[in-house]
This record gives sequence, structure tokens and C-alpha cells, in this order.
Amino acid sequence: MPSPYDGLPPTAYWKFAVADRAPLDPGALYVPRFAITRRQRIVTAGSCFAQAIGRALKQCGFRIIDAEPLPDVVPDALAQDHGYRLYSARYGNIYTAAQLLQLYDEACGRLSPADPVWQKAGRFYDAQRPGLDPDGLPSPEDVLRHRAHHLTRVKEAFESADLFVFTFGLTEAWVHRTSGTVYPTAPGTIAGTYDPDTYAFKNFDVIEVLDAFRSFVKRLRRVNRRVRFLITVSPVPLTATASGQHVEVATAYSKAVLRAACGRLYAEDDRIDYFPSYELITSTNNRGVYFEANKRSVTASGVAQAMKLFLDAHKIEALAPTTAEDDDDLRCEEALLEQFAR
Amino acid sequence: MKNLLFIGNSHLAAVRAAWQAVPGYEAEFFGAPQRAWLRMTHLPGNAFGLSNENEAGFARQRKITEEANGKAAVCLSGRDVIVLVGGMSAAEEVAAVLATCDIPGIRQTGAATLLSPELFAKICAALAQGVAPLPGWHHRTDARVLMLPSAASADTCLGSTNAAFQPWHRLAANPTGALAGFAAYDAALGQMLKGLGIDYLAQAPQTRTTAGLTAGALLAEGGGVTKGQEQRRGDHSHMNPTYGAACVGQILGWLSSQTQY
Repeated sequence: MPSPYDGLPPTAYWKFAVADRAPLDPGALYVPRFAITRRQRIVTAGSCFAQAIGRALKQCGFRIIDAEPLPDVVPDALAQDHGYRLYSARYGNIYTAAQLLQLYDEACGRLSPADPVWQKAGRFYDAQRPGLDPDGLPSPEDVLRHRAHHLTRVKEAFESADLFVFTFGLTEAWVHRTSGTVYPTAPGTIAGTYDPDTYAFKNFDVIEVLDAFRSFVKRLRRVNRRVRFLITVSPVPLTATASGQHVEVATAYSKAVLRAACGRLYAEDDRIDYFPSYELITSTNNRGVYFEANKRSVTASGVAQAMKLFLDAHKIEALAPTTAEDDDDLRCEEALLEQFAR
Repeated sequence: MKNLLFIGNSHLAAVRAAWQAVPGYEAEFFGAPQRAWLRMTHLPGNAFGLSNENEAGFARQRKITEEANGKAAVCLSGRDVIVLVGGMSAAEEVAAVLATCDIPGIRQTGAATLLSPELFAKICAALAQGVAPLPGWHHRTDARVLMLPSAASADTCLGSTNAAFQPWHRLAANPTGALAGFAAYDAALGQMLKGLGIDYLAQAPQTRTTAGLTAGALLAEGGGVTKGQEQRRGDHSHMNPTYGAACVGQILGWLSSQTQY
């Protein structure tokens, strides 16, 4: 009997696929499971690395849904400081699958998060996205009004998507002890007050991550039967851990859980594809060059390399830059000369 | 006799057309097409205008400026008031924000985006910063500086299918609160300019429609949509002497409110 390893493609062997690969060559890491085109309506969500993916997809001409748009005249820095232009709606970073499920359930009226409004220095913040109004809002009623509007936009975006791109970021979260409500940040970090009798640290395991994401997929497909999913794992390490472990050990655990969950989701659902941005960025073949000096943030070249891998795999060409028209000059001259010549 | 200097781009034409001799004031006008206006700078000898650098491809703009004024730069010395006219407007940008967003207390139309008043104020401040006059106009001690922005587009732009006017189409379809939104922007711009030692006269309310557009009757002859060319931008921004008269009225009102003038 020949060995089961005989006759496998070069990508199956570390020597050919990695050791002999030129530095920074992404190799054939990604083979798409289904086609993704510029005609599809795409929702992006997830951890902060998902912002980079969404931005890159948009620059490549993909139809990224922006359910809470601001016109181009608003400077990017100002818009993004307030949560606009980051994702398909103004939900900020969604680090965990549990938070994603909770958001959609809330948008559908199936649950109301506990402690929805946090306070700081006399201003009020949405506990589910406390960083999105850096100065807070004047009253709890304002927060709730903005949240109610946001949820209608989230529901519409999710339910109209052809493709849902989600980047799994973390397993660690803070939850409300009695209700199980998940928060994107620890209370007391941006706003709110940390009360250990009310809030607890939670480190989701692989079963919990799978259950949450499966539930989300199932509920969304009830109303959006055509939606497919492209899932990724953020290569960005934890900025801090509350697990009691070394942050590097905690990061390895978190990423392993998320990667395992993605593997299982890919295996069981042929309408879910996995894009290996985690593997691309963290590959030893790159010698760490896709990380900034803090060894955590992904460089622009890393994001660009990930997008190149994505576009090449889907055989999509980058867009050529466009030029603006300028036909006002003549009229300006006429208006001036006509009056000043008198 | 007080000396007034009006400097501006092609929007200055309407003001000049409406200006009549006013006892106690002498006025000089110095105008340039937009492309030349954008290149003008403060020059040695307390002058403002085009420098003598021979810039390739710019001869036409210089020639027009010289034909219109008899010179390419104007002396700023001996002026009591310098009035900057034209440009320096973010009306189109504000229209885009108002057409896209609801803002509690200002505008409620069922828009996709609900903008907090606090963020709208920051956007207005950012847009105002984007139209700040050159540093040479800030905190002048030799003359008061007064700013009149370009008029908003005339409502004739609603006859154009050009994408540039889509915000105005949306705003005109439901103008609820539009003028309050523009007023908030004008307040932000006025405050920013005040900090630079510059006075500001917002576009006269009687010249605007409820959507914030300039009334079509105030558009200069030759402007508007050309039949069969609705997809082009056309000219909806240059106003006629009637509009200029409204500006002159504002300027005279401002002058009379200044005790030293």
C-alpha cells in the first residue's frame, strides 16, 4: 500500500508550501469555497481587524452596506471617532460571537440588554458601544433613542446582506451576572462603574463560541435565506487579559478557540467560507513584518497583502482610480469679466 | 471718507453690480476667477494677489485677472474695511449632511442616520475650519476684515440630474429643519471667524428657499440648466445684481452697526 501522503499537492507539505516559499509570498493559502463578487451586498462586523478588512473591500469597489451613512464631506477621522464608516452599521467592535448574537436578538426585539446606559462625569453612554460617542450624550433618553434607531438599521443591514463578513476577535468578555448580557468593554473602562457583584469576567470556550455563532446564523437565515458567511480570525493579540494568565498565553488560547470554532463552522456548513487572514499575518514566513512596533497592530502592508490574497483568489482586479470633472472654470471667468469690464 | 476694499472670486461680480456710491465711503473692487483666486496670496508691500512667478499653464488666469482689474495684485494699505467675497462656503457640504441625517431638535425625516446634535456641531466646526481664510487675514490691525461667502446653489439646480446636486434634491424633497441646520453651521463659522478677528455675514435669509437653496430668481443671466444637457452641472452658483443688492444691504447694515464707521 502506498502512503496516504503520496501524491498530495505541494501545498500539503511544509517544505514546499512554507520552507521553500519566498519571504512575504502569501502562497496559496486561500481557495474560495464560493464566488464573491462586487454585485453582492456585504455586511462587515467583528473585532478591530474587521475594520481594516471592510475598508479594503470598500476601496476595492465591493458593495459594503452602510446602514448609517455620513456623506463624504464629513472628515474620516471625525466620522470614525464616532463609529461611522467602520462597519455596516454603527455598532463598533463586536469582539465575541455572543455579542453578535445578542445584538441581532436585540434588534429583533427578542431581548433587552441589562444596564443599557452607563454614566461618566454627568454624561451618558450606550453600554453596548460606549466608545462611539466620546463625550457621551446629555441624557439616558438620548442614548436609548439613538440605540433604538441603530437597532432598526442593524436589522435592515443584516437581513439585506448577501454576504456577512465576520472577524472573530476575542473569547474574553464582561457579562452581567444575572441576565448574561455581554458587554464589549469592561464597565469602568470607558464609562460605567465596575461592581463585582453585578458584572463578571467570562472567557468563552469553543462550545460556547460555536453555539452563539450557530444560533446567529440560524436566526438570520430564517429571514435572509440567501446570506452566506465569510469568517476570519483576527490576528491581533489581546491588548490585556483578565484571565490571570500571561497575556501571550491568553492570546494563544483565545485564538486557538476561535480558530477551532471557525474550522468546525466551515466543516459543517457549506455556505460558510473561512479566509485565513490569521494565518497569513502570523505566518513565520513573514518574520513578523506585518506587525507594528508594538508587536500587536497589523501594518497597512499586512492588510494589503491579505486583500491581495483575497482578490487574487477570487480573480478580482483592483479598481483604477477615477478622475473628477471640472467644467466650472469658463463660467467663473465669464461672470467676472462681464461685470468688471464695465 | 472711509475706504472699503472688496476682494473676491467671480461671486464678487453680483456685489459690484449692485454697489452704488454711498456718501462717506469709497470702494475698490478686486476680483479674480476661482482658479486665480485660489492661487492668490499675501505679497510683500502689504499687497494681495498673484505672485510674479511664471506658472506653466496659468497664463490665461493671470491675463483674465489683469484684464478685469488692470493688475494682478492689490495694495491693502490705507483700507478701513476689507470685504472678502465668494468661496469660503460649505453650503453644499452642509446640505449633504442634512440630506443624509436626522438631527434631534433640528430635523426629523426618517433618514437612515440619526446624528447627535453634539456631533453635528463638531461637523459644522470641521467644515468651518475647512473654509478658513488665509492666515494673512487673521487678526489684522490695519483694517477690519469682513467675510461674505458664496451663495448656496440656486434652486435651478433641481432641474439638473448631475450627481453633484443629489443632496439638494433630497433636501428639497423634505426641507424640514434645513434652515435651522444651515443656521447652526453659520453660527459655527461665525464663531470660528470671530476667533480669527474676522466678521462674518451669513447669506441673507430672504434670498434662500426653505431647503437652503438660493431662490432661482436671483441667478445670473445665462445660468441654469441647458435643455438637453440636464446631466451637466451647469451654472447655478453665480447670482445677479438683485442678489448683490441683498449683500450690499447686509454690508451697509454691518457698517452702520460699527460705531467707528
